[in-house]
Amino acid sequence: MAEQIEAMVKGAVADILGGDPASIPEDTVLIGSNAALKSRDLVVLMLEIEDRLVAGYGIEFDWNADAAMSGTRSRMRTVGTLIDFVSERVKSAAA
Amino acid sequence: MQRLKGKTIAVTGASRGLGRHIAARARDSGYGVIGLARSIEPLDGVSMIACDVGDAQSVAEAGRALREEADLFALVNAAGIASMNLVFTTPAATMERLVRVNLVGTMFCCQMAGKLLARKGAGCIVNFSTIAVPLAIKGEAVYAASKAGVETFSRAFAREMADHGVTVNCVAPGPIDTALIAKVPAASIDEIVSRQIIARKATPEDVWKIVSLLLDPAAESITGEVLHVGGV
Repeated sequence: MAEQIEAMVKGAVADILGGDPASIPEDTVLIGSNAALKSRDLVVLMLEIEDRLVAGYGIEFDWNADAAMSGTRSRMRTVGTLIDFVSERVKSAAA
Repeated sequence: MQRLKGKTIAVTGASRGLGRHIAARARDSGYGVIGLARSIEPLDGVSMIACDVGDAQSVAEAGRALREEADLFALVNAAGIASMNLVFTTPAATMERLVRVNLVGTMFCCQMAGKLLARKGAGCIVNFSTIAVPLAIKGEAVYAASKAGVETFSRAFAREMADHGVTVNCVAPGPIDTALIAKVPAASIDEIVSRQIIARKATPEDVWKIVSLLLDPAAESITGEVLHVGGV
């Protein structure tokens, strides 16, 4: 399951940034001045992950349930933290 | 009337008053219409979804239903309540309910529909304010404050949604003969109307005409605006 989530998140990021999903580094910054994504792309990424979770796992993902966008503590600050965040939410939804 | 292809509108507050008029006129104009309302009153040719806009869970459930609507291209947030009182005589529960339905309800619905429209990369959101905001009418402080919040929210949200090809505007009517102002003394209404540039009471049809302008593709570059019905 963890590998599937990682592939799903990296696939969604790669769709926006281009390139091979497997080559997306987990320390790729998603939020802030050094972010690889523009704010528009970040929203697109969030919506894409929502759609993939519904399609692949039947899980409705609620970004509002967490302080997802709150600066440096954000669970979305890098690809790696986003993978962890999505994995946790999928596990709790499946429990 | 031939149905407009790919043009379905969600209208909140569609069971009565302004929302019902807008839903009916949109239907008559060829739009597909989905009405959202706390208590459903059937309207020919309009699908209805039960939704309390002030309840996040209820709005989320409505969102799940709207997600199935491939042709959704606009949200008209017509649900709203009013209570005319001096601040000193407005019960706390009334203050909270005004803000909950008018402001927070608009935010919830924009958040829900905004995601659906952003996925499509196009669309239109119309929120409702009031001329009580610029006129700062005595006895409408809480109501006007809730709607001032809607205006500010809409202007800022318009910037977020511009990235996704979605416009966000406010229509701000003055007094209209609906249940919303039924208990307001006629003299008070006349005084408010006299302060409009066009000094006559607006009709639901006046409001629909402005909403229909914003729904038109010709309005694709109008966003973050507040359109005062009758002018102030």
